[in-house]
Amino acid sequence: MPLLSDRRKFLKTAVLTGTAAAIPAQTVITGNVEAAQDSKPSKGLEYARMIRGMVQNLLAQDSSKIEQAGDLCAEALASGKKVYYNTTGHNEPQCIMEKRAGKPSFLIPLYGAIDYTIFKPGDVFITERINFCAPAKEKGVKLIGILMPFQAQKKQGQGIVYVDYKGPWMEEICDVCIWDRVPFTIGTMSFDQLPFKAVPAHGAMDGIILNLILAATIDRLVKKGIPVEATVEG
Amino acid sequence: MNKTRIFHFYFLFSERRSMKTLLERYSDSLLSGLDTIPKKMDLIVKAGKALAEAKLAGGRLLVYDRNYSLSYDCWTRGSGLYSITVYRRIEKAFKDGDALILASYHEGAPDDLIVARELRAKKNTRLVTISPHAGKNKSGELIHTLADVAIDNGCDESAGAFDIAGVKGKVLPTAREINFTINWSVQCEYIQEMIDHGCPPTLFYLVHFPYFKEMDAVMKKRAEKYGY
Repeated sequence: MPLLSDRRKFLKTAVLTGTAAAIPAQTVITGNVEAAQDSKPSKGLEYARMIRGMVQNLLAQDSSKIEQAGDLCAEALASGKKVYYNTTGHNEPQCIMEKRAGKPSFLIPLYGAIDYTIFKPGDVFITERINFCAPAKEKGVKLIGILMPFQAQKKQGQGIVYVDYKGPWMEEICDVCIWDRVPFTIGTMSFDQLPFKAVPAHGAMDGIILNLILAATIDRLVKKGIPVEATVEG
Repeated sequence: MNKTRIFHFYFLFSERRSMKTLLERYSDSLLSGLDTIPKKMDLIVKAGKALAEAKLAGGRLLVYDRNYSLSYDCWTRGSGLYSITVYRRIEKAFKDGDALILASYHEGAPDDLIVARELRAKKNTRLVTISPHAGKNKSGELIHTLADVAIDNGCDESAGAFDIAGVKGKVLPTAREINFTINWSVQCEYIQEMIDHGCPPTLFYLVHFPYFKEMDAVMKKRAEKYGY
């Protein structure tokens, strides 16, 4: 299970030495040689490099998962099925559901509590919420999980909130599961005199993962000659 | 170079472009966009200082973007700033001394300009903009011209979206992710600046973590007492 082992290694290193250090050196490409030679980068620069490293790491290690997710979505759409995405929560709506141009119209947003009766076997559901997975799976839905460091549930989670939570984990129940590279500390940057790690990264990272899945899907649809439409600004 | 050669180069270039998938183009474009951020560090540092300057002088720290996408990525965000608030959704009017992060996918969207002018109508305000500076909008005012610190997100007016054969309209913009990264990079500088001034900012504790309520009560009291 490369995802699990990579994640554990990442988290262990992140806890001990910080998030930026946890990203494998060969995957961190700064793109700015001068800046990379700074002996003590500013915090802003450290953050920008960290996001760059997270994306690079994601592309290097999870490209097959992204392709697999694209296959699932494109096959579903080609056979008349639907691709859903849940927007419940604090962060998720920001990923793609804001009313601006560029979202592929085949992606159907689901707001609030999920009405599982809408799902038909063969549909695809992209979600960041573990509690939505099992009921959707029972309907024969293919699941693509974007694994956040936590789930916005008081009773369920990905393991950090309630030690007695026994699963299922996203890795177990989803057909494809892509970790957003954000550690369980949520905060990603260490500052002297602050009590815990500050500054999140999942707002950007979760949107990037969704866009990568959609890009892979569009590639396949175009290849099959299935028309795709982008939404216009609302 | 004669016309035939120009056409030949254009043909080769077009062929090469068309061979790339959208996934490759999106990935390349995103990474290129992220690569430009370290080159803007002087502005990012300056922006962090400007925001801290306003806060240290007793002003408020606000954020605004038209669809509240970036704003909600800051507000009550676990591990984010306790004292940042969203213009229009939470705070309905600016006050003297306020500092605003204004993010946009456009150079001169009327609504963004209204917000920038509303801020500028007050005294001693600081405006940091994160927006395109592509120079395509020749007809009207540009929001970055109103800013104290203007950070170019490097995208065009389509927010870095892609033209793809077989797709109607431009699809999958990258500007959101670039703006988010610049914004948090600015906030990193703000945090460090506040610490350097002996005023470490209060962080919003994680809602879903144990003892959230207890921690939040402490953080709230602290933020109220010190104002940062």
